Amino acid sequence: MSDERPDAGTSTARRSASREEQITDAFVAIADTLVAGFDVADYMDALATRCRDLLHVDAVGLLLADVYGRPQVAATSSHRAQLLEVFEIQSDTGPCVECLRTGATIAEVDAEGTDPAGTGRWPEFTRLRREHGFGSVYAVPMRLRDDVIGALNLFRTSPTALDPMDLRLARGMADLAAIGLIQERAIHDSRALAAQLQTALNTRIRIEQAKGVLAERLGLEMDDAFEAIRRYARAHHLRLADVTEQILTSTLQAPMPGPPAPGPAEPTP
Amino acid sequence: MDGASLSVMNQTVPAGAVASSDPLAALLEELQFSLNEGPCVDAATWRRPVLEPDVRMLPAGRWPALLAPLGDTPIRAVFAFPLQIGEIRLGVMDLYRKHPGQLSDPELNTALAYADAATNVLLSGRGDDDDVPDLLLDPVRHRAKVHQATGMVMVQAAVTIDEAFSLLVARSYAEDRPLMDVADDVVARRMRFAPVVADPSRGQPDPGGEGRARS
Repeated sequence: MSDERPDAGTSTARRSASREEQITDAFVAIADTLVAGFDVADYMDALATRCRDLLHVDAVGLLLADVYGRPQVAATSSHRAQLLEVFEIQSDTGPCVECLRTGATIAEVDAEGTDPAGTGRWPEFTRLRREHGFGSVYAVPMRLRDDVIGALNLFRTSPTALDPMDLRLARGMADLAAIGLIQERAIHDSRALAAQLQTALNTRIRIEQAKGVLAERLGLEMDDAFEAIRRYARAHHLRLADVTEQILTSTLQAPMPGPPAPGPAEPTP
Repeated sequence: MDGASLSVMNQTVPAGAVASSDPLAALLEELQFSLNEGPCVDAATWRRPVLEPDVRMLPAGRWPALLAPLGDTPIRAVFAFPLQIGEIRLGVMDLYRKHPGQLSDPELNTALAYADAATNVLLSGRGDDDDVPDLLLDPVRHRAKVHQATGMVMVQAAVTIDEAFSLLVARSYAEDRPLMDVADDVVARRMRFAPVVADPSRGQPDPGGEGRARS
């Protein structure tokens, strides 16, 4: 198992110094996407990225239930995570699918012997997860009133359990994600969550299409194409949906940032 | 529900009803196309469902030209659902009722499921279930790679996104392979699409056409 980042136990002191600040920053950043020009794609993306950084996990995926109650990928922080999410959806097994179905938080942690041989509930998923270098996975439900509308999935290279504080925070983030969807409904004066979710999923499809356009134009890998879109949006204070629209309607040809060079200075506070 | 109709798109503008359940539904479509406003136009433009439980309670500015003639009909509630795959706008499904009121949750879910089915039919270009490609049985919209490949083909062939998708589907038919496999090949850059020669009869400038090397 690779050791990309310090493990939860070893760096508690260093972490806790700026912990409160980090959490505050994350909530402010997420709240920022909630105000003017709210866009559900930006919101989900910001949430996925912030969760990854804040919860000491290596990849994050957000699943939303579609009109049939089937899970669909709404945002992921990396290609590896997306592959696993898509696999779960296609095979209709795995912790995230289970979480969506039961509304319970589901954990699979290698070091705890949850499933050492990989022969447990989802042998195929477990095998793939390990192949992609993840030692543990958590699925936290996104709840809205009595409904489970989605799941927040946390992937870690570490095979150890998530810090209980981090897990509580994860639940808070999942609640925030649900609130974001309510907000979207309020703004557009639609009472229908199902319609809202479908719209959010369609936005996700447009982003995938725009990634393809950009990957072809600039000879980029898909992940790098998304990173370029994200960076351009941030640098120009645009919503992901705006940049996507520009790419797909070809109004944005030349000025797109080249191959993954260091982006323009980030105007973020 | 008292009536329903399906409209198809011409680029980004609704181009006319292909099916209406009754004369009132047909009239609703007719009014919208001639006035270029209404739930169908909004749903296409905003890419989201438009749910208006009572058109007589709407502010006059919402649809300035449409509301008066609409008020002369028994139509009270209108619901419009875009038929789309990301950027690809295929059409709009309009529903109306003669009594005011929101759709219930089950009604809304049913409507969304019908919109899904209509999207699939428009995508496959046929209404029968004879020799239907895998994309109908295995909803295409949930496969990220198909969408990524569509974007890539749009650039390679210098076509619109709708055409790019059609090219992918055509290739899948021609080679008798699942659409997902074709998309895989495009994304992995094992397959390229040559630029499509512009058809002057369409009266549109060739978008892009950067003279890329073909495969």
